[in-house]
Amino acid sequence: MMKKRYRAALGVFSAVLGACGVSEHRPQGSGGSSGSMTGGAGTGGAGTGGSSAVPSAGDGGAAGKRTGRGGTGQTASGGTSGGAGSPEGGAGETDPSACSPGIPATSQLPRMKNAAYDNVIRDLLGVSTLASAEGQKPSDLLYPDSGGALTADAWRLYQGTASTIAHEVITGSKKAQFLSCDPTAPDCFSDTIKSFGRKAFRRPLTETEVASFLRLTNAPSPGTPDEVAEAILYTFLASPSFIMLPELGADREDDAIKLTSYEVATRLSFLLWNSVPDGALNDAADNGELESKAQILAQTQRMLNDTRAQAMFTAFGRAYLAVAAGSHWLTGADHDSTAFPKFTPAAVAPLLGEVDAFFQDVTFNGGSFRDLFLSDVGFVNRDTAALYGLDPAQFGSDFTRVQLDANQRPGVLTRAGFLSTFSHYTSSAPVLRGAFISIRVLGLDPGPPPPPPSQLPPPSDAYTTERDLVAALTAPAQCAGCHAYLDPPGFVLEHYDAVGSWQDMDPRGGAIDGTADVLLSGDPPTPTTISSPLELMTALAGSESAQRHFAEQLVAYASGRAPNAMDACTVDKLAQNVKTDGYAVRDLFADYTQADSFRLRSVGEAP
Amino acid sequence: MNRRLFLRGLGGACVAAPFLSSLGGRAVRAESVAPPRRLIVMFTHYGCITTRWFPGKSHGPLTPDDLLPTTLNHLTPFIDKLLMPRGIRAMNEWTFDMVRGQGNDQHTQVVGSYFTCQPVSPNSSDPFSFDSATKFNAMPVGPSLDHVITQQLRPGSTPLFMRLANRNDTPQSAISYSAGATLFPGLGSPSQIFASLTGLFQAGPMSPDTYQTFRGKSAIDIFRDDLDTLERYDMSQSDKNKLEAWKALLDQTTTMMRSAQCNAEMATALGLTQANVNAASTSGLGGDILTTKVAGDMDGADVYSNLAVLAAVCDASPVIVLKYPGSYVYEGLGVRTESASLAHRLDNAGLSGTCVPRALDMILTIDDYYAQKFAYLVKQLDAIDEGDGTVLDNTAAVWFQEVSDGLACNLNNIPIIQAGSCGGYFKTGWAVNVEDASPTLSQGNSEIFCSPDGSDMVDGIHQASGTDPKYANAPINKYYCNLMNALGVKAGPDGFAAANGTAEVTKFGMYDKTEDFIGGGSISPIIHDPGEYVALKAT
Repeated sequence: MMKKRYRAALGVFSAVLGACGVSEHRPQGSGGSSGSMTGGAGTGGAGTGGSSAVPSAGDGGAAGKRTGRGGTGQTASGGTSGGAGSPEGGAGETDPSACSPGIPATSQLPRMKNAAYDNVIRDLLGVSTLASAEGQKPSDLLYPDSGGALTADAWRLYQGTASTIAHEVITGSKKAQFLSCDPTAPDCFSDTIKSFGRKAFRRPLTETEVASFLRLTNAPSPGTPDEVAEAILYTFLASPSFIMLPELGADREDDAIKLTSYEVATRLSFLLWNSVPDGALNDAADNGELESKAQILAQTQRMLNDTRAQAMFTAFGRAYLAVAAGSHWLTGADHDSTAFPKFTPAAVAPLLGEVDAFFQDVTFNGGSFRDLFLSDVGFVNRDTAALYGLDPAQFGSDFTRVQLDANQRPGVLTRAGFLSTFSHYTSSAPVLRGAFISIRVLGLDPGPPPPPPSQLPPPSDAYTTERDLVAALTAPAQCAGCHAYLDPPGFVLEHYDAVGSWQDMDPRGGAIDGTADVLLSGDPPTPTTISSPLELMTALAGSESAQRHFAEQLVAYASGRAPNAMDACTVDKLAQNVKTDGYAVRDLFADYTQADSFRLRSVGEAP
Repeated sequence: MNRRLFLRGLGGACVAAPFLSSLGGRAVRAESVAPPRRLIVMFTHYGCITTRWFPGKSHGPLTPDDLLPTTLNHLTPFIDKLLMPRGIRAMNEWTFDMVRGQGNDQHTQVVGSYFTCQPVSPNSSDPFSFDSATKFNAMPVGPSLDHVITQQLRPGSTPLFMRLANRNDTPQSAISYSAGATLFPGLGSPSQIFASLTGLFQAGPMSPDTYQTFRGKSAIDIFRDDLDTLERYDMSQSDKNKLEAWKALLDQTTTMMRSAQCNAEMATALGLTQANVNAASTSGLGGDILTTKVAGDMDGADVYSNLAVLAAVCDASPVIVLKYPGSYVYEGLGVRTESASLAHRLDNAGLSGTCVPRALDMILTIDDYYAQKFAYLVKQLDAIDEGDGTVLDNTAAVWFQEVSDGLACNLNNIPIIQAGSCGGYFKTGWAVNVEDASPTLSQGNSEIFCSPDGSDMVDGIHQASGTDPKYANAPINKYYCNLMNALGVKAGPDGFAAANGTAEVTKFGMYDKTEDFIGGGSISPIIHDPGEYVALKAT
C-alpha cells in the first residue's frame, strides 16, 4: 500500500519539478528555504517559530543584496554586513556556475578568522589556552567571525584578549617565545620588535614601524623590562596589521595585480595551516621564491605533508558537511535513551568527533572523493561501539580506528554522527536525511517552496513505518513536488534508526523498505532506482552533480567566500579532477593554488 | 544580593583615561559629572497571558495590591519605581485578511518593525505565502531604536546587544538592525560579553605618570599609525570604510570615561566570576542553559542580567539589550514544548488544532519566569548606588514583549513595564493609559481557549484571544521618543534624531499607524501623531 502511494507521488515528479524550481549548483549562502519542509508530524502551518527542517547551503539571509530605502531621518550608518554566506563577500547576481574568465575582486583587508587566531597565537607564542580565562582558547574571548567594519564590541574584545595573552606570556613560562634576549641589553627590544614583527605581520617591518613600536621603550616614567615587553606584545596583538591580512602589493600582471611573495606566503599558510607561515615559507618569501606557479606548488606539497594540514582537512570537512552552530549536526543529538538504550548523551561528542576523524583520515592520507562515500573506516570508542553493533567492552574512551561492515557502513553519511543528528528525538527523519543529500551533497536547489496545504493528515499509529508516515504527510500535491525528490535518499537510509544503528524492522512494526527512486541530477531530472545504502553511496560518489558541488564547496572554503562566475572556471577544472578515479582530495588543494586567482588580485569592490 | 553593593559617596565620580589630554585635542570631562542615563531592554517573544499579566488598573498610582494577583507580583518591592505605559500599539501587525500591516509573516514583520517602525522588505501581500524571501528573510528598511540612540550618543559605536542562550537570530526573530536590511548579531556567549567588559575595568585611580598610562596612549598612537599607513594604499571603498571605522573606534577609546565602580570587585559582587560566566556559556550542543542554576539561585539568565548591570555600571553603552530566545524549550521549568508552538496553545507550528494539555499553565509558567527575571534585573540595578540614587534610578529598564496575546499575535494593548525613571525623566509608581487615561482598559482575552471555561479548539487566525482592535492603539513610536529624549538624544528641525541636532525628538520610524505598513512602504513616510507622551514624564 505504501509503495503504491509513493509511486503515485512520483507520478507527479516530472510535472512538478518545474514548480519546485529544481536546479543544480546553488550558490552558497544564498539564503535557503529554511522552514519550507515538514520535518515531522504536525508541522506545516502558517509558520510561527520558523525552525528550519531543511539544511540549507549556508546560514544567513540575503543581506547586502537588498536595497534599503533609507529610513526617515535616522542617522544610523553602515554597521556590519548581514552575514550572507561568507564574511568577505556574497554571491553575485550573475550565474555563479558558468565560467567567466578573470580574477575576482577581493577585499585587500580580510580579517583573520577566530580559528586561525588560535593557531597563530599557538605558533607565535606557544599559547593554546588561557589560564586566567579558565583554560579557554584565545578565540573564545573574541567576537564571532563577521565581515564589514569592526564593531566596538569586536574591538574591545581584540584589545582585551591581546592584553590577557600578553600578560600571561610575559609573566609565565612562554616568555622566551617572545623575548629571546636580555631586555636590559641595548638592542633587545629593537631586535624583538623586528623578529617578532616579521612573524606577526608576516612581512618585515618598515623602519618607521620599528620606530613607532620603540616609543613603548621611551616612557617618561620608565616601566620595568617586563612591563615594556608586555606592552610591545600587547600592541602587536591588537594592531590592525596583525588582526587583518593586508594585501597591498601593486605590481601588475596584465589586467591584474600580483601579490607579493609575502602575501602569497600568507595566503598559503592561512589556507593550508590556518596560521602564520613557518620559517621555510618565510625564507621563501624573503628570497622571492613564491613568484611562479611551480614555486608555489613546491611549497604547497611540502605543507600538505605536514601534520598541521590535518586541521585544515577537518575544517574543510565541517564546511563541506555544513557542521555549524545551529545546524542539525549540533542541535539534533538528543534522543530518547529509553527507546534507544544503545545511545547515551556521552556518545554525542565522539559521534561528531568520528565524522571529523573520518574526513581527516581519508583526505590527509590521500583518499579521494569516492573514498569519502565508500570507505569502511570507522573511529569508535566505548560510548559509540554499540551503535555499530560492536562490543563496548573492547574499547576505551579514545578512538580506535576500525573497519566496519562495508555493506552497512560505506562512507561518512552512514556514520552514526550524521544519521543520529539528522533524526528526530524518537524516530528517524528521512526528510532531513534526504534533503541533506539532495541539497548539500548533490547541490540540487528546490527553490522557494509553494504555499502549504491547508490541512495535513494527522500522525497515526496506523502507519507501520516512518517512511509510510512521511509519504502520507507529504502526499498532497503541494508537498509532493519537492518531497518527491528530496526524500528518497532518506528512504534508502531508513535502514538506520534514530541513533544510527542498523535496523531491518521499523520501530513502528513494519519491515524496512530501503528502495527508492533517487534523483541524482537535476539535468535531466531522471530518477535512479536504488535499493541499499551501499548503492546510494556508490551513486553519490559517481554523480557528476555531487562531484561538481564538492569542487564548488572546496573553492568556497579555500577562498572564504561564495563562488562567483570567475571562480567557476576553477571549479570546472577541479570538478574534472574530482571525477578522475583515485584523484586525491589533497591534490585538489594543490590544484587550487595553481589558479591565477590564487596569486593575483583585481581592483574593485568585492561582490 | 540583599544589601547595597557600595555606600554612597562614590557618587557620579568618573575616571577619565588620563592620557586623554594629549590626544587629538579632545576635551577631558570633569572628574565629577552627572551619572550616565541608559536604556536596558529586556525582550521576550510570543507575548503572554494578558489577562493575568496586566493589573486591573490601567491608569493611576500603582500599589502592591494591584500587582499581587498578577504575573508581575515579583515586582511589588519596587512598586514606587515602576511605570506601566498602557494603551500602546506596536507596529505592523499580521492579520489573515491583511488589515493592519504587511502580509509577510506573523513574526518576521513584527520583530522587524518592532524597534524600527519601518516596513520589512521584500513585501508580501499574501499573508499565507511561503516564499522564503518574504516570509523568513524579509528585513526592515531602516535601523532599530538601539542603534539610532547609540549612533547619536556614541558615534561609531554599537549597542551592547546580548542574545540569551547564545541563540542566533534570523529575520524571523531578530530585533536589532544597524541599518536597513543589516541584521545586528550582537553577542551571545556570556564569556565573550564578560571579556568585552573586563577590558573596561579600572585598576583604581590612574595617574598620568604611570607606565600603564603611557602604554595606553602609545598603543593607540601605534594603532593609528598603522591605520594611517594602510589608508595610503589605493583600495576599494568598502576597505577604506573599514579603516575609517576602526579609526573612529580609536577616537572613542580615547574619550572613554568609566565609573570607579567599574572593576573586578563589582563583577565578583554580581556573581560574575570567570567560572560562573563560563558555566553559563553554552557549548553549542543545546540544553536549557537559561534556567540552569549557575551559582546559588543565580541561573543562566541571571548571569546575562548581571552582565547588563555590570555594563551599566561601566557605561559600556547607552543601550543594553537582553534578548530572550525564540522557539526555546524551557526544560528547567518542566515545559517540554517549545515556546513558539506553545504560544499557540499547540505542540506544532499550526494556527489551529486541539489544545495541548496544560497549555495555559505552561505559558503562565514561562510568563512567571520572565517576570522573575525582570524583577531580578531590577533588584540588581537598584542595589548599586550611583549619584544621589541607584543605578536603577538613572536607567529606563523596560520589558518589551513581541506581541500582546501569543495566539492572536495582536500588537495593540502591548504589555510594557518599565522600571527606573532614567534620571528623573519619567513618572514612576504609576500605570499610565496614554490613550485616554481610562483606568479600566481591557486586559485582553487570553483565556477563551484551552481554559476550563473555554474552547478546546484553538483558533489562531481570527484573533479572538487578543484585545479588540478598537482599543489601545496609541503608537509605540511616541514612547520611543520619550526614551530617546530621556537619554539625551537630539533631533533636527524635522523632529527625527539627527547628528548635531538640538531639538527634542518628536518622530521615529517611517509610520506610526499600523495600517500604513500595508504595501510595505508604498505609502509615503508619514508620522501622524508626533511628539512624546507627556503623561509618562515626571511632573
